[in-house]
Amino acid sequence: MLILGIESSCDETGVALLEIKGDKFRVLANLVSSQVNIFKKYGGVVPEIAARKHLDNLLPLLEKAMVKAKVSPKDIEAIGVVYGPGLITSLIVGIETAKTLSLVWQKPLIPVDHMKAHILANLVEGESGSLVKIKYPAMCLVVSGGHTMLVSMKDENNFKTVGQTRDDAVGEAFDKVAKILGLGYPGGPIISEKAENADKEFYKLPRPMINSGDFDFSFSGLKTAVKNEWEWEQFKDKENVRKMCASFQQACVDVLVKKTIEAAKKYGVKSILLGGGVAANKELRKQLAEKIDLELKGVKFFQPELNMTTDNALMVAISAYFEYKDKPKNFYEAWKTIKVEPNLEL
Amino acid sequence: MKTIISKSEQDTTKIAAKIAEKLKGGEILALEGDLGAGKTTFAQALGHAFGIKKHITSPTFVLMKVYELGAQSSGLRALIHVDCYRLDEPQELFYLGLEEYLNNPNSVVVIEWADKIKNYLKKFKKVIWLKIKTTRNGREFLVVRH
Repeated sequence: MLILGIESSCDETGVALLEIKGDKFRVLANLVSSQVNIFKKYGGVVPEIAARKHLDNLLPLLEKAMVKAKVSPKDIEAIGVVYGPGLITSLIVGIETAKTLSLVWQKPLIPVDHMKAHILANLVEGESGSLVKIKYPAMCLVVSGGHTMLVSMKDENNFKTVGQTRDDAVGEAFDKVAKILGLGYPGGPIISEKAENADKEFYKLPRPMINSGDFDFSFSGLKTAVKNEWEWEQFKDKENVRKMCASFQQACVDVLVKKTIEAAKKYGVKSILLGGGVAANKELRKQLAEKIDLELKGVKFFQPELNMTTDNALMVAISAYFEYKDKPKNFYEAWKTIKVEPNLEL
Repeated sequence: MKTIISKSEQDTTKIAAKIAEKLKGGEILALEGDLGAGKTTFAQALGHAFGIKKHITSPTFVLMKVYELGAQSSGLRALIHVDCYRLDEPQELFYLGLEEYLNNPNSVVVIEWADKIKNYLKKFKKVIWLKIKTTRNGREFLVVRH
């Protein structure tokens, strides 16, 4: 079956066409039109501009995807669209477009949770092949600009949040620390680049909630600690910026890795999955892989391909497929009832 | 104008609880203060004072979060937590549907980085400005009612 995926939850507009037969898949198109460059000058997303850009981008992108995939509406079996969490004004553009297509083309419409999509991004590797087989139960660490959570997973349709941030998301902390250090936006890639080969023990930073005994996180205090240390620092030169980036990144990685390992042990999982924009962070990938190898014998570690860590519509299409395949009838009339849920929780 | 000193998170919780007692609905709490001043901590404490059990997390990413309140004697129905950190233009908030809450007697709106929309807030009546400053011994809350 051919699934059309649509993503517009923040500042990327995405359209994907995914064909699935049994456990074989083929990506016919996966297009993303990012607005990151527009928002660099603002130091963040501007919701109304984001919404207008989605509106400008979405239909041309859809047309391009369909030409590229050489398909017409009659080839599409169902449409998947993200309904939350995200920016309300951005989500609305995707939802309203998808509802209209669903009605006009007479296709089932599947509402997709953006966070589930980040997790299921792990199932698609490359342009075609077999869906990645994951042994369940699994523990997923989802890290992005708006979220930091540990999710236990029984299968592709069963998710339960076991811990999450109590204040800032880790990606948000990266953005804010980059701002404190006078670096640009988005903070994640800049900090991780500056941190390479720099001394990560130089600044003594806290590891908030590392021994809290639960699976919640806190990054607000860490950001404040960076700010205070930096105010005291007399030599704010390039070398020290790099050391601060490395020290901050290591503090984040320490907490994320430790809690993920503990959660995996407690829930006796067979796999660990990484997802979300911060999953692109090299140190996080490396250190989590090393720790799993060391402490969790037999547990398999899955990390999405780099282009699947950022927001895209392919992960939406794959999520829609799993929701849809066993109970297609549930989605025939969904266009009538689907609503955006900016604060959607798993 | 009034200055209240907080030496710890516990103190901040008490300050928030005292302020919460006085809120009848329709108020806007405009928070000012640097990164790390404790704006989110204050908003969290305020939410807990209203009996919100959920974690009140940073709204920086989605800009606005709405928390429904349980039964309150005052008729308060919702706490709206807004963050202007990423905003340049106040009209952005309009697109998010914030205006329907700003004049609503059934909700209290707490806004972080409110100084970014100072002029816009002038047209509303019940705005309480809270400047949070970090000092050597803790934090100072400067309360100004316009």
